[in-house]
Amino acid sequence: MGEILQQLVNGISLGAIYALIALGYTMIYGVLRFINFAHGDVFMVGSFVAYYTATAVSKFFPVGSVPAAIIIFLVSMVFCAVLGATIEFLAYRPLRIRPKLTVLITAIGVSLFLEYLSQLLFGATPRGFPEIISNAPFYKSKLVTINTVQTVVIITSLSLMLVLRLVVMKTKIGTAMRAVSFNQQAASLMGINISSVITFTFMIGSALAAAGGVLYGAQYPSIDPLMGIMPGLKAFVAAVLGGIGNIPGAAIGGFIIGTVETFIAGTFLSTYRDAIVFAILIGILIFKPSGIMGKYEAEKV
Amino acid sequence: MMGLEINDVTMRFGGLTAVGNLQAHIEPHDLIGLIGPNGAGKTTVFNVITGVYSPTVGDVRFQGKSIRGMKPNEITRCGISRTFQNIRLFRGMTVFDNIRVSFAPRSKNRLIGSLMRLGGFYKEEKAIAAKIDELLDFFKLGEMRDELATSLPYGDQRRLEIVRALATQPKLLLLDEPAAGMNPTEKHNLMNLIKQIRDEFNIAILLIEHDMSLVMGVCERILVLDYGIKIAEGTPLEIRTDPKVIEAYLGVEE
Amino acid sequence: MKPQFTFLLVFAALAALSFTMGAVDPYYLTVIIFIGINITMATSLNLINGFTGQFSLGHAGFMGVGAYIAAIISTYLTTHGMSSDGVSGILVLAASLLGGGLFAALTGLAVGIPSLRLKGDYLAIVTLGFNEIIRVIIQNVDFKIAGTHYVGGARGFAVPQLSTFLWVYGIALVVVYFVENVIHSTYGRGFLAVRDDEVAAEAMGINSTRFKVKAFVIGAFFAGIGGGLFAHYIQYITPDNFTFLKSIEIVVMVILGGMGSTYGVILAAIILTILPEALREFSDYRMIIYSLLLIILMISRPQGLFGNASIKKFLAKWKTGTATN
Repeated sequence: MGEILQQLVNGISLGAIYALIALGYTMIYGVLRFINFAHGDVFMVGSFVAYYTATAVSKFFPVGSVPAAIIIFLVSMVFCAVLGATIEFLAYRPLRIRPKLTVLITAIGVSLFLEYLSQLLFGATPRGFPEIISNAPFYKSKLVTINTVQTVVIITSLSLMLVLRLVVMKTKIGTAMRAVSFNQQAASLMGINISSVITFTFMIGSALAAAGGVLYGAQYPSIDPLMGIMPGLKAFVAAVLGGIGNIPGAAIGGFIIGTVETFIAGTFLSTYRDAIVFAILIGILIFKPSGIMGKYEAEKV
Repeated sequence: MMGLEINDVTMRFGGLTAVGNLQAHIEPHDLIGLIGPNGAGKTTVFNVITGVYSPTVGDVRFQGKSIRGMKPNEITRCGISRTFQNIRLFRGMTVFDNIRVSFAPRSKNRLIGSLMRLGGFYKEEKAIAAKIDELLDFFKLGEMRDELATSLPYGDQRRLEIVRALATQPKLLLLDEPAAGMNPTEKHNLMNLIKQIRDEFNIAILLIEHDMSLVMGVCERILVLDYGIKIAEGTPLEIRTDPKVIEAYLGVEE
Repeated sequence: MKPQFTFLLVFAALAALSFTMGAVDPYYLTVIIFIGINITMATSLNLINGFTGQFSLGHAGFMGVGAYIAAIISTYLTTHGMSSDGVSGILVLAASLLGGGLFAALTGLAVGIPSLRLKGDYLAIVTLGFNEIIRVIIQNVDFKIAGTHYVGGARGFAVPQLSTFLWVYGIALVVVYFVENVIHSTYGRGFLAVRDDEVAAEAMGINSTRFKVKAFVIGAFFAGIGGGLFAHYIQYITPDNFTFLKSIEIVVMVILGGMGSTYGVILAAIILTILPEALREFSDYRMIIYSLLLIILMISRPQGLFGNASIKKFLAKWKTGTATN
């Protein structure tokens, strides 16, 4: 019983990170109808920015202190927001009316570019991530131990999701985002500036991925330029599971995938866990392509 | 019965009833028009007949057997062929190859035959090419044989779609707004062409069209749909004077 | 000229050429062999991606299945009394490649059928997922028969060297011959029709399902054989040889060559095999340049560099050029 509870805690804290990345996938899919393959690499860049910021900040605040952590988060999120908007502007914007596959291939190119540029800049060998959030137990009982970092991961993720929800549902730009994702042409006719909505979406999505990257580094303290590939793909699976384009769905999908993966890792199938996540993806796409909360769009003849 | 029977067909999408309790029949040599205001469910009727959709309720029978639930390619091979409202030619292919595609399912040389290329292969390919050229000449498209299909003028693209549909050797041809985007001369020629096709190829034709003069001029019988319900059926003269049709359609449009 | 004669002529030329390979520097020979294998990989993927329009990002998965199955067969045969030299060696490799190809084709069927309901980027991601599943499975397999290790999980698998220049290029020739002959027949137009407009293809009586599955099965079969040739040349394979990055590499060849142009794809396979070698000195920048090229290519020339039309145009120019000279 204790072990199951412990796995659940670990799973939810991993799932919280997947959820943050998945939100970006889903939002970008919502407005542009394409899979931003490079999203996982933005997450990786977020980790590295945090790594360097932590070194710089340590001159003013001790690593592990609350102000240091807040600065690290903000710097990383802002950096990636700008990065996301830049990628969109340079690589995706020229392709807006082209076939989706052209955009997908470009996204693969962007993904490779970020990975290998990072390898050149940061080196290929993994680095230890500083303990910006304490690893010590926050709550401990006979049954379960919850670390401070896990608590922070879960609380931060949930708060960011709440903020996102408020932005999307209550603000003007959020309404515009929903309009664009509902019907781009109609939104454009209503005077919404599609380009700025797309830029905004990329900024928000990338900032969330960066936050995920910081939390991931804090929780699993080894980072490298290729670290974004697998979490990125798994978060994509989470987004599909929740129903791509659907924001609450992505969050739920993230938690489910994180939990499932953690439980599988605790069994004899642990070495198969990546394969099982992909099997889940294939299963959903074949049997329920709309995911848990999405709606299915049929082709018009 | 040898023609097409639509028996009490209803097609629903979620809460929307696109076609309701449609009853219709088409005899082997008929030339029938299907008209109705925008969104009346005309193309949905085509999609149900050709297997793109399976009807929610009801049955579609062709030449005495049910074709409900068959896939579009199976229905084509039963002898029903169609064109599309928004032209759907094969973009990467020439005029000749666009028609050649319709021979692919019937080609005796499949993978192995095409690979080995023995005598029979060349004989069949030659026979197919001859048939295609004959069709192209009949429709005066022979000169454009090797052009990319999408580089043709609009009216020719529409005609090419008709040729392509005919190449499947249908018994029933469905034309979805064949005159859309054509100028009056082209429309006039098309009108004659449609009659000619019916007689030369000895087939039945069902056509959706917004151009009233064309429908009235060419069709022997007309079905009128409004909100998915058949509100009238009869000769052009009967339809022209039907108060329900005038109310639903002509009264608004003209 | 009938294609059969062209085939025999090219094969004879390759056979003659194979005698000169002994004099070639081993490093260059390796590059030449990899070009041949990549032609097989890219041409077979072109059938799926370029001609049938089913965007697959999992070709390295099929390659991996073929490589491992072929290696298992050859290792078994050579440790059970068959020599790897002479006629016996030819038989061993033939059996291994066939076995690898057939297994890969079965995998292609398994991937192709569920993929039928998916299009575009979803299909790409699902095939990528299959690729990763195959890799993870290989990583977890390791068994021993009569004291010999098979598959070897993540550590890798030692394979006898059997692939030669003539084998590699002979197979490449067969793949090119197959794809070109089938695609240019009336029957083969069905593949292109499915690519151009599936709804219209169905309306022409084309069973699009069947054409898609066939493309996957045939493409996977040849990819499996390509994998077998690869394994029996480099003599040591690990699951990391067959990640989705390898798939992307092959996809880029198809895209650069201009989807659906066999000769363009062959040209791209040659260039993209030589280019990384030529850039070896700048190995840190190699992949950065590569990915930037991909992005720029997609933005400026998404139809690829060497579509059929551009090659024909070039040849026409070249011909008139020589005529006037």
